[in-house]
Amino acid sequence: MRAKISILILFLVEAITIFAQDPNQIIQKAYENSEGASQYAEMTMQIVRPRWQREVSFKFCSLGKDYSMVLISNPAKEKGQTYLMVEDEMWMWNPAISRIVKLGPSMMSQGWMNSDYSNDELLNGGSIITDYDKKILGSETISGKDCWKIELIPKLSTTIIWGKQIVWVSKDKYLILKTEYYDEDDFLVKTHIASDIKIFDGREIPTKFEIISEDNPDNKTVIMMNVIKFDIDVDPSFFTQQNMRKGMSLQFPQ
Amino acid sequence: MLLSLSWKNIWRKPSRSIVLIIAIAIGLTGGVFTIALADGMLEQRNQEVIDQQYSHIQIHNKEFYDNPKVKDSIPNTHELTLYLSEREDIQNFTSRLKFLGMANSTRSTQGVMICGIDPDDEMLVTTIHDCLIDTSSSYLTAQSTNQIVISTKIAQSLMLVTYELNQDDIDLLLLSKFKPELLDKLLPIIDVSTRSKNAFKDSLRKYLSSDEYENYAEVFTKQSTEYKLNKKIILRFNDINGNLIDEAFKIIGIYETNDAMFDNLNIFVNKNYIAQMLGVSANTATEIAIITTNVDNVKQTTSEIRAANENLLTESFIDLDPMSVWQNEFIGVFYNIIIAFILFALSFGIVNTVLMSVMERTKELGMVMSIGMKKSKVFLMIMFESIMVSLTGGFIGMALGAIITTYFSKHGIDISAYSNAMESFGYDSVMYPNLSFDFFINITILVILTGILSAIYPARRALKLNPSEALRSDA
Repeated sequence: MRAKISILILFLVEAITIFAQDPNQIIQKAYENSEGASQYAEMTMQIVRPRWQREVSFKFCSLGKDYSMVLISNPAKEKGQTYLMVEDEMWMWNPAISRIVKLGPSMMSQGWMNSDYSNDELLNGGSIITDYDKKILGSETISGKDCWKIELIPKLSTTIIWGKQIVWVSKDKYLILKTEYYDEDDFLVKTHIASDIKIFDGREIPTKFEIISEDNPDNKTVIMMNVIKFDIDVDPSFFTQQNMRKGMSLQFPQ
Repeated sequence: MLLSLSWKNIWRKPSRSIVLIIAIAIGLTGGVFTIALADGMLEQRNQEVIDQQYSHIQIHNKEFYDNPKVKDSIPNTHELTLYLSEREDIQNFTSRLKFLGMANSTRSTQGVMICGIDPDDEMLVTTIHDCLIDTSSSYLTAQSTNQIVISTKIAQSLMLVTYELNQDDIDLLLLSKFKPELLDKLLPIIDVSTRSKNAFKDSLRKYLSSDEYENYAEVFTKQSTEYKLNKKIILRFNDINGNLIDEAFKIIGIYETNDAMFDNLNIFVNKNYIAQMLGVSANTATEIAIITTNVDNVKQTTSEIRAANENLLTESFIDLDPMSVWQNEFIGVFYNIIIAFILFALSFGIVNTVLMSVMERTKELGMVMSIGMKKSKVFLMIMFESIMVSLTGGFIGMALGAIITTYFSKHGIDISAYSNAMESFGYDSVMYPNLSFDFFINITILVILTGILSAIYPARRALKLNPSEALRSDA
């Protein structure tokens, strides 16, 4: 009986890999791969500009796509700042002024901590599954991995500004290794690159993320994942303004 | 009798008088034309800011200017519009939903004033629909949904512009007298399209010598600029409950006024559509703009509306536009000062000429005085000579100035070579000089005054003559 079941499961898995030629499913799987139902991570962000560069370390915890909390642990100047994102809104707690600031429309489009990631991108990352029409363009090799090259065109009703995105998803583990963002005239605007694939918490995932702007090739932001844990035990009551105020003494569930 | 005597005296030495008359005429022609030019520019600018921005009167909630948002809308718009439509001195008015928001493109973000307008009413009040830059640009209609009209300035800062020289551009440049040899150098970059101004300029620098680059880069860049329609931008703003709203809009039109400040801020969408997004009723308004039947009565109308609606902020364009105060209150004095300076300089010439003619006529003056002409009559005669010379020159000068002004007020003076600088102050690059009739009366009075003042010294000299001694002099 048990053998039969395992054969059945094997069959199903096989079937999924075959039918995964459907771009919608590829993207769906890739998305599920990169984000667990909940996760905890420790990351270092490197911001490179022509005249300066700096590093920011932070702890990050999220539940689904509606809740996340970030605590800056380094450098000293920003240590203890927390960011809370709930649904479409974002707040910042700054221990220096002991105040919670809600990020308004103008701040949402600015880069988070002066990086190339806008606050917006951090908030609205989850729409990749539903908001695009997808098409497989072919196969290409990205850093040694055989990948599907998939074109994503935003649906008309959405508020996605890009003309199109092209993503490269590895065929073996469904990892998004590269994303190119184009404007409506098909000019490349920026490129995301994921690399350094490692095994964390039983999953094989890229741990280095780079974002390169096409107009200013000297500007780039690199995020490195030092620790990541998936499916941690956390519930929505963690994502509150009281917890934001704890600053450095905030204990993340792990 | 005395007048005709003076007139004849002037023409005893025609060449000397003519030289003086010509000098006065030229001085005043220049003065009149310069002032006409300045006044025309101001008048043009004022008319433009009224037509494009301020209208004659605007009504706001008193809180509006602190932070333009939908919450501070005008209460009781219904009664207010009824009241306004019943007034006979109001020609047209339109209500707007104006508030601050952010515009996002793929590359950039900018703070903007979102102007929700009622397109049909708006066309009766402002002329933005005439400022669209391209033939394929269109204006909003009452049925418009997620369509938007932005300015060239905002298109540039959102980087929705491409820079590309194509054959048509080259042909146009050839027509505007650029040398074919120079344009041949641009061949490698024809039909090459770039998104950034700097990248385009870099490619120009590569193919042009540094001198050519200095001189022509701006012209070529301007010629190569192409504004793209039908692109998407995302507007982000707070709705009436403070929730963040993202909404995608398609650019259907691009406008350009002469006021860079205005262009840098304002974008236009359909009021009915944006009201839905904001969660407010369609007749909510944060601004009402009014055109009256007669500009000259604006102050009166404004204070009447203000008195009838004390809870609201009612302002005329004179209150709204700081420049217009300057023009209305101060500029007239300024013009008269210019003319007075010109006449002051000319008065030395007049004094000199009249003095010379008095000295030459010592014997003759002695004679008329000894046969019984009163001293006051001698004084008056010399004064009339001076006034008549000045007035002759003055009238010729004003006539010439008026002719030149009329000619250019029809044909315009194109200063587009310097227009970039001018436009950032809100002036058109084609100037149409303009002068009011009142000003000529002012000049005439000033000219007569100059004549009188210039005659005092020579006339006093004549009075001091002793008739018996003067008779015996050789002159």
